[in-house]
Amino acid sequence: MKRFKHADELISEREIMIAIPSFVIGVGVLTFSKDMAAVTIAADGWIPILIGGIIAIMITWIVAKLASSFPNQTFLSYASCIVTKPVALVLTFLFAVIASQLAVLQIREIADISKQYIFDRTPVEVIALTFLLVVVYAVAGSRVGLLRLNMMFFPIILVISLLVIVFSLNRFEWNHLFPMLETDFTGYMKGLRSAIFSYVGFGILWFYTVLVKKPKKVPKKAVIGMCIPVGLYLFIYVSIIGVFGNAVTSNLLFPTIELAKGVEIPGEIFERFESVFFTIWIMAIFNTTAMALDICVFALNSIFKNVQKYKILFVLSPLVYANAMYPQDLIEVYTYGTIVGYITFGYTVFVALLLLVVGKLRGVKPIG
Amino acid sequence: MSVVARRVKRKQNVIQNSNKQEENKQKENFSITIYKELDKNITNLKKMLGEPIDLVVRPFTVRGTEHKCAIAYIDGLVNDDLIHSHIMKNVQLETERKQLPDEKVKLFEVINNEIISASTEKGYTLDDLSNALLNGDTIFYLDGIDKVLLIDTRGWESRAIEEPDSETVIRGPREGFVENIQTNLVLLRRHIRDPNLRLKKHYIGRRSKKTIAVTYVDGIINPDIVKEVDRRLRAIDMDDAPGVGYIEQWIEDSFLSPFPQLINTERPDKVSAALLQGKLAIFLDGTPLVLVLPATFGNALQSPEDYYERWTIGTLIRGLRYLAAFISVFLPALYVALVSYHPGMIPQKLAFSIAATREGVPFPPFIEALLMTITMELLREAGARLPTTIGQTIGIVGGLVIGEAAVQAGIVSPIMVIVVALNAIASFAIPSYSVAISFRILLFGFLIASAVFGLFGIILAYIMINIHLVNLKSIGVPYSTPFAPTFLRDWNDLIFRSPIPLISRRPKYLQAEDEKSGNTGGKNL
Amino acid sequence: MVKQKLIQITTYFLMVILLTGCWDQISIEEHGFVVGSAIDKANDYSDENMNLSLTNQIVSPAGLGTPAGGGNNKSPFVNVTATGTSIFTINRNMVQEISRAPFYEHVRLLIVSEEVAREPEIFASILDIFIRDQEMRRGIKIMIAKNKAKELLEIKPEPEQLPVRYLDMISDNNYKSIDMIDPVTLGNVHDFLLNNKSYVLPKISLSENEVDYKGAAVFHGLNDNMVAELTAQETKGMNLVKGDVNGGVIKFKVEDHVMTFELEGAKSKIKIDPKDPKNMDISVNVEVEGRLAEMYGSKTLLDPSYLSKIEEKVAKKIEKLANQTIDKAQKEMKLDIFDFDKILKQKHYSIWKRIKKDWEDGENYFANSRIDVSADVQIRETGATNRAKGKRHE
Repeated sequence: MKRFKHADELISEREIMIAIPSFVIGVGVLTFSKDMAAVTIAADGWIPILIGGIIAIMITWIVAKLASSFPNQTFLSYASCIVTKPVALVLTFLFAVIASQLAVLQIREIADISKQYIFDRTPVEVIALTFLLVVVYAVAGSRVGLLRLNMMFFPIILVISLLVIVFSLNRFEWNHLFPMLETDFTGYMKGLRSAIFSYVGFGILWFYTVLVKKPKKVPKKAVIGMCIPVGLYLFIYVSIIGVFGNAVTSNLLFPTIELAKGVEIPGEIFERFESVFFTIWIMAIFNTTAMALDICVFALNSIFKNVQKYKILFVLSPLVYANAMYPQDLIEVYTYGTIVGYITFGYTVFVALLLLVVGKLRGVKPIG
Repeated sequence: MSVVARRVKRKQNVIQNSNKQEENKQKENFSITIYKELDKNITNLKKMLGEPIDLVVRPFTVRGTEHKCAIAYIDGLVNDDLIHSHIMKNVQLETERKQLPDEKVKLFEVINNEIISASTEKGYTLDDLSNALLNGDTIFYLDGIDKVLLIDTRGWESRAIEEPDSETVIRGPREGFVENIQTNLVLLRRHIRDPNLRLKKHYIGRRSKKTIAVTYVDGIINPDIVKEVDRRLRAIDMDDAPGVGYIEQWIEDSFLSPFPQLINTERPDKVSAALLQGKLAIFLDGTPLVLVLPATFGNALQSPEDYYERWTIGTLIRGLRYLAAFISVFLPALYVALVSYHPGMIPQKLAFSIAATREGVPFPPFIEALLMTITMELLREAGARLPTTIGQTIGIVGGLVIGEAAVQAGIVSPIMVIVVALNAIASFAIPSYSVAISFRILLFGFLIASAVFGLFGIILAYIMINIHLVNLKSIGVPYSTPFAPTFLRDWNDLIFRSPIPLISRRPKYLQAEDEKSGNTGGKNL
Repeated sequence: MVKQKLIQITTYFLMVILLTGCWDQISIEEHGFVVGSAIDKANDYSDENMNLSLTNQIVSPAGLGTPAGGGNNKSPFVNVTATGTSIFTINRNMVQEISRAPFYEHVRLLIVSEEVAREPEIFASILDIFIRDQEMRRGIKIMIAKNKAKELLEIKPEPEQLPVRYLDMISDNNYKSIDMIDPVTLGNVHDFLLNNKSYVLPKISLSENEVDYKGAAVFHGLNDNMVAELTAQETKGMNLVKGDVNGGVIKFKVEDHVMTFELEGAKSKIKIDPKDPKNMDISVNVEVEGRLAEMYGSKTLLDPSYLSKIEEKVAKKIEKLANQTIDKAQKEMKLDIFDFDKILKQKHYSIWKRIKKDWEDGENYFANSRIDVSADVQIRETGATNRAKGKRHE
């Protein structure tokens, strides 16, 4: 007898393919060009973006391979299989902490940017709270539903980005792309560093792979999924440099929004495209935040098995909110973001290596 | 599912209760058993029904014998011709020609098998009798037998088959369901001449005992749907089901959702297309509306018309309908957001002319929009409940006079009138009334969100609606499919309606047993 | 579970409604739509007290009239002037003057008077708030007014209702002329300011109620003040060298007949030989296409030799125009208004890195470089007729 496969609490590999870019693409897209332009010359930033992308894709593949070789097992269960249970508990807990910090960052930054571009007098606290409540509503629903939400939003996000790029073409000046390849090595390295942080997101595979029906397909799909942000970042970066030139780009706080600001829709149905762009971008940021919070809840739930998901969520969200409101100004948020970026990246790579090496040493055979 | 589980539990309680009731009945002066004595039986029957005026009991004797017998029926529910020609005449005439056995048991069998030509059932308890009687059956008693014959003599006045008012199409069949379930099932049979078409009977309503028929095509439908529907129908416990709405509200997945999770239709072609797709339909006696399930969000914006026109037109109409849905949900909210939060987004010249027309309007845009949309709802509701001729007057008075006067008086700005009118027209372009209404609910939600936070509020509200949609299910099938979970194959019949010959598979989200479809089955409601 | 959901939803709605107060809600008609701004020196300007005055053209929508309503006698705009030491304080002062708070999202035009532009560093600081404030668009056009900038906002243009819209349209329509430079936007200026390099902004002047949109103002990159100006003829030369031409006319004489050549486009190929930075060779080749728009005299144009003679004359004229401007740039201003530095940067980056500081300042390599202009002219059409006038009997 046929079962209602899709009604099960499982997702298809296509959903994990979209989940990765949905997680990666968040607030970072709005700012990354600035950092990149600051350390490279003209449009040379595309090289670190591409190399960083390739590195990120490789790590994604390793993580996906590792996670999918233990089908139907949560991170905690296969981690405790490889390294002992206490260690696995610590690893999971750290993931929860990191995920919550990612959510905190996104919430804070979206509130700040909204305040700057859409609101004038509405307090940041209120904007952040409203956003967080919607995120909590999403996380309170089913986890599979959350991943399906990505499928609804991601096409819209892609379309709006492409629209911005296409409508910017008339302002594109080839001259801005020259001179090519004049950046020195340290510039590239600095660029690479900030590029890699923009790609942090493969960590979700540790947790969401367990939900996939056919885990064997995950590595391939995850790699494809990871290619999407790499391509998008490249396109956006080149368009921004082409439109503004390197000097202006490195002095704009949110180059991507400024790019949208200059867009003129043919027929002039409405002006100030950046409001539309940013409004739709809220969906992208929402996806990232909701998944980050969900992973936090997921990780904590696998540690405290007997506690209801709702209880964890309702204890967690005030903490996240308080945490998001803690940094005093933009610079603090910015430094905090960099630190969290470093830690997330470092930790994900560390866990991957740890599990790989210890697994090999102890000869833990993947099940299935 | 916990809701349903609780309902099942409640149902068990109910069964216990009804046992108690039967005990009560026995305490009164009648008994539910059928006796051998005819007189006793008839008194029992009369007592149970409380000697109503429309109960007809006609005792007579089988000709040529001394056997007393009687028929009982409710006047008006039965076809008098049938009673006279099939029962009275046959029992009187046929018995004459035949060599009748003397023994009563045998006589009873002979009458049952050979003499009465209408369909019969045997009844053993008084409950069977009263159910049958109230369904329009006639009871045949034979003295000395503790069984009765229930003869199907149903026949009452019924509306003729006409085109349904609520769902007219231009290029399509002009027939619609009527209140009689038999007629409706016939209409369905005429569309699907497949031996695998299954019609399953249930009775709903503790007191009204309405017939409902669950229909599906065996071999196409996923059996899980049938099982799930069966389980939910069993959980229903109410006195009466005057319309399908009652059943809908019992079996839907979430009563908090603004979206209709089942499809209502009066069109046989729509039902048959759905059944061939792998869906299930529930007919209820006494109403022309049929429930089709499971439903998805995509179904809400589809009409049979899309398939009757060629695919280019069908696709364009679909696109238009999605636009209409967008306008009917978002337009006033967007207007309020733009005018009161983001005037910079409005093109310069338009911004100035909006500002010029709003000069002197006493209310903020949100209140203005709220006033106008509520007025619109009032007009719609008033028009819907009135006869068509007066309804039109309401439209003219409301739309023209009030709108014009309000603008003249400076209470609302002319642009707001345009916005609200466009919004109303768009919501009338949505093919299903229940869907259009639920979109109107969303409209008010978005309006409030936009008044509080502008575009930020609208997008958050939109995200919330989407969260709700992905968590919502209709009889186990995700409501947001095939958007998410994504079945790209099903997109050939979603916003884009591909040519009929290319729709060669049944929708994947229904997980049909037989995925391949003939071209006719490709219709998505 | 149902109960939980109910509680969830009600708390959400309650919170949203109770916690917020529609802080940012302002009805559209309560905004004072600023369409253009003008910046002048205030009357009491002195070196100690650098008072500026900002004039905002604020639209009063009711005065614009609706298409159906026709015009009433209300003026379609109000010019509001306020003074202060910085744009921000001026803005604060301005709020007290008018009932509607200035709303800058529809600003199209910023006019700065020459007086202000000539003061060192003030120009950049004025623009800072325009660039920084996210209400402003990067597409705002910037012009330099010869006299008081404020006066330009007070003209009575026909058939437009708003002076700003009139100026805006003039600058858009006149892009088909080589007497003036393409409109420069705030975004462009941001780029200029960041690059510390000289740049050129369009000039506008008012003479006897006639708006004259010709010529250009040259800004020095270090102090961001206006140091020189280009006449219409000089602007022509600059545009030709830059190849920044969409149209325009060149008048010249052939055998005493005045002829008009209409440009349809020009491309300039610039080659720089940077081997010896102190003595660079820059060759500019201008390729011009166009048609003969007007000719006096009655010679046939179908004669190839005559046509090539005309072409030669046009080329000569173009070279003359270009050299005139180059002379001025190298000798008088000593500023690279032709953006040769960009080409250096793009094609000879390593050399550019070394000489960057000495390009316009210090050693001033630009002034010492040899610039050689040549022009190629192609006449594509001669119009619909060969001759408009019969041959004289000779």
